[in-house]
Amino acid sequence: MNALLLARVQIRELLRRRLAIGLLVGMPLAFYLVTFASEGATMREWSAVSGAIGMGFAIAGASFFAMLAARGVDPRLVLAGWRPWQLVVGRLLMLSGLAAAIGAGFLAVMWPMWGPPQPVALVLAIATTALVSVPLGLAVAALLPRELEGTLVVIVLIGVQMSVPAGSAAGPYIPLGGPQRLALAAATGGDVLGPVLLALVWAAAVLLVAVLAWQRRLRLHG
Amino acid sequence: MTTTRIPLLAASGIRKRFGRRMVLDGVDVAVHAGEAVALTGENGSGKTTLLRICAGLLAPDDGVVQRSGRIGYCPQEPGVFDHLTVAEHLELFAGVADGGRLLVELGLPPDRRTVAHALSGGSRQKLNLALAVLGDPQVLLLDEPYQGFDLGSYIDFWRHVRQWRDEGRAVLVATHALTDLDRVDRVVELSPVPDRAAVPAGAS
Repeated sequence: MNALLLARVQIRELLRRRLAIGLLVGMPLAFYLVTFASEGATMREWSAVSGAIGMGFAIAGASFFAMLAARGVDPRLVLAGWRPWQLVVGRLLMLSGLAAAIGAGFLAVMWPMWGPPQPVALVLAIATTALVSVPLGLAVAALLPRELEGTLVVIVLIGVQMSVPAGSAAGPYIPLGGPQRLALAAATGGDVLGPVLLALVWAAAVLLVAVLAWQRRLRLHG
Repeated sequence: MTTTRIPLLAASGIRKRFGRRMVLDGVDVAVHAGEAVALTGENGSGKTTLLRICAGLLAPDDGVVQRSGRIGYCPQEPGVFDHLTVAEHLELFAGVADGGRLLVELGLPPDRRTVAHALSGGSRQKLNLALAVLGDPQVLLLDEPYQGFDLGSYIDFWRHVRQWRDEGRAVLVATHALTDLDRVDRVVELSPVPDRAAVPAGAS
């Protein structure tokens, strides 16, 4: 029993949910394409942000649903001999692979269509969005294990993220504030180091919450 | 020849409250090696809660659970991945991809490539039960594990309970069916805990 086995089996499980994955990826992609097609420089900046943050919705949503599907099974796996940390690491491996694939897909759409003035910033925006969104979905699933409430929280988190202007003072206090600033920097130029560090801090914090919450949820009593 | 019967599972003084509702109030249950015990009681009497506490999946508010050996737990609702095949479940739970004799004995369809959500209700429940028994657990906690079984599978299930008991395992089965009670060595009945808040002041 090892985390790689879990990652391998669970990626199959997730990919068999073709419709759900298609919707999770298709909706933000469609949103990006609509905003990209709108005229004007401001809309171009907005489309960059909506593409990166929308991708965060796809990844956090996939992460949330993968954990939710495992909620009834994980305690049994622990009884069968799995360690809680193996389950968490296995899921992180699986979701990181998925996030990398989704990120590459978004990049493959955004880069050639747009030709970003600062391509490195766009790559960093996509990478950091993936980095924060995987543990974000895990944390929401651990703290709000009911489907409806968790889905609403993921939607609200992304909605708030979209509503806050990238340069806003609220930026550092929202999970995807760093990637948002990087997406803007891809269009207009600007600092990339600060937003990358901010994203790393958020990723570490959300990961810590997710791991602690899952360890607590899966521990055996007595 | 006398044999020493070892309690593989012993829960004593178990109390559990959900919000304002007391579900278990000082419950004791022990199951020995080579013993099959039925856990009965009406809806809401706390059978599932007690089994989850015995498995270690839920913490009691008070009381102690002692277990010896590995636990196999079969929840009432199948705890399986909807989009994994039977073979993948086996691989995940026991590291065996080709299944085992148990699945054949339980009458699961031979096609192990069927995903769980495509199985019939009874077959899904058989998978649920098989996952509890994989890995040779010494203590089996089975929460009404025959939901959706046809008559043949139901009879077969009880034959397996006797077999597991004869192999020296401790088997605790939550059940509603009074007809099951002559198939076990002992019956532990749970009664719903009276709602003390509803008792008028001064009443005894």
